[in-house]
Amino acid sequence: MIRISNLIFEYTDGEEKNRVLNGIDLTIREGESIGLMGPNGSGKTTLARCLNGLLLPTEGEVFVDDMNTNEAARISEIRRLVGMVFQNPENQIVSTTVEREIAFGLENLGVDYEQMHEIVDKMLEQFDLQKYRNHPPHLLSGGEMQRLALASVMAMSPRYLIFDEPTSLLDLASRKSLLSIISEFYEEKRTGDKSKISTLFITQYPEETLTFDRLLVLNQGQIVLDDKPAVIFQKVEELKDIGLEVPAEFEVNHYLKKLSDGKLSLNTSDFLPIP
Amino acid sequence: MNLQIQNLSFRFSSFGSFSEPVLNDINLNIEEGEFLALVGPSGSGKTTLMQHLTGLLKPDAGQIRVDNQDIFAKGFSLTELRKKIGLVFQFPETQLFEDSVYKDVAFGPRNLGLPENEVAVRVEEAIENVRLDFEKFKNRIPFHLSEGEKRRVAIAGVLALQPEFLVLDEPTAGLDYSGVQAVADILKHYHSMGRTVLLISHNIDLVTSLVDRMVVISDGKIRFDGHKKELFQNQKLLQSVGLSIPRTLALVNSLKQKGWVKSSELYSINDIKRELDQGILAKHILAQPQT
Repeated sequence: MIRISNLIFEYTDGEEKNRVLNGIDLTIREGESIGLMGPNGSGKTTLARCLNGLLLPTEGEVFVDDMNTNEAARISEIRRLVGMVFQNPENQIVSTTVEREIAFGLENLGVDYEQMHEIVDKMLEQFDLQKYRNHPPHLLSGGEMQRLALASVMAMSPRYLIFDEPTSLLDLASRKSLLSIISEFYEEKRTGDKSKISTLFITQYPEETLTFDRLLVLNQGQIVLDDKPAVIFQKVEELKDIGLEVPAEFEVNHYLKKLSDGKLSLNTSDFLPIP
Repeated sequence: MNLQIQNLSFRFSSFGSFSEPVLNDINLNIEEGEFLALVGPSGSGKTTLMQHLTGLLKPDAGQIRVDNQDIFAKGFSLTELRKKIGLVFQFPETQLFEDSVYKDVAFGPRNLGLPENEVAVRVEEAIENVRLDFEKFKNRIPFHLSEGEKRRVAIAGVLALQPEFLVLDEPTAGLDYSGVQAVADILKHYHSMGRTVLLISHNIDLVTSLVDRMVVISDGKIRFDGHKKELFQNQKLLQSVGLSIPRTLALVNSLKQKGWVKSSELYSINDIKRELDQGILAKHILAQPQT
């Protein structure tokens, strides 16, 4: 469980103080899948970086499995438990081959050689990267690179996975392939696999969050909505006011109801397949 | 300005003999005043093609002709061409460097050697054209702006050159909904001033809400060039190049079956709303007996 209480994050810019996060209270439970949306500058990335101690709170506390991110001695354990996949995978890939990239984190943890090989092979297979085993990562396409970034994080068997807009630079086909890999994790979880990974997925594409357990909406450093995605997307006007989009079918449905005084609406079967 | 690309091929020589051509026999005509989109998967050659338009890359074969002149011919001034074709690259805000919005936008026009009073006019106009309040923003430090504002300032820097032909590579990547809408408005407005606009984007919903003519490129070849209506009827082609129909268009099918809309050609939420206004109002509200 990740528990955040009254998290405030400020940075100082010359004389000026900028408050990016303004009193966040949040609990991420075991196995939950959570979407996070918010306009540019609302604090999404800052919040994500507070979860594994890349940033430390100005006030308030962040606990990962009861370890406080403020305790320097626990930080490497916290970072193993909370894996991050960023918007641009090039920023997190460090090794000269795909295989070494996946092994990088394991080497740092001091995992023994046999076991490391086992994990690397499993990840190459799971993320469909076997044929690139000895390829330099920078020659992969954007979608493949994003899969490699995810494989390298998963190799560390994290308990929490944070995705910071991993799809925003991808073309549609790569986006679909990444999303389907991620949804396989959720599927495994539901079918009782022992891995109880919790995920926090930041995106600007509302339809990507429809399958999640929960959706959080962040605005001006505060969580303004926290509910099931399908409930939140009913609030078309409210979301528009803070500069967010709802999936097309929710917006059309809302408009239909308004036009017909609630007499007409779409059935859920008319809703679009999830990408 | 009319632009013609004829039988253009290109490969990166640094990859040696391994390399497949990045662009393979490209033919494309763009007429003055058009607004069109170039779409295709990552790595298909979109950005490479864009770099050819002002001679930043030179083709291995084929020609680029601007108003019927070969841009690589002796005596053709690429410097003059670059004043007419404005390129907005991916994440242009990473190129912001001045300490005020005004200076950053003025950088291009000053480089053109324009007198300072003309620079001032252009800067103000460009900032207004990207829907930012000139007085409020002119003295602000670009690095302190939001992501969407930075992107708009960077685009203003190119607009201040007043290019006849504007080319943008993924101008909405990473922007939130209101940022995307702002960029869409900027493009519509710039096109309405009689300029030519070429939009490169993965955002199929955005593209189809803005343009009719779509050019699809895949593996360095042009696979489609025509009206979006034809493109979205060709499932086989869409699948082979990894494109899907816009979400709105999929929704229109449901609405049509219920008889709430008539047209199949609704490419944006606003198109759907407009059609619903007419259809539903006529059928369900206006049809009720008057009291």
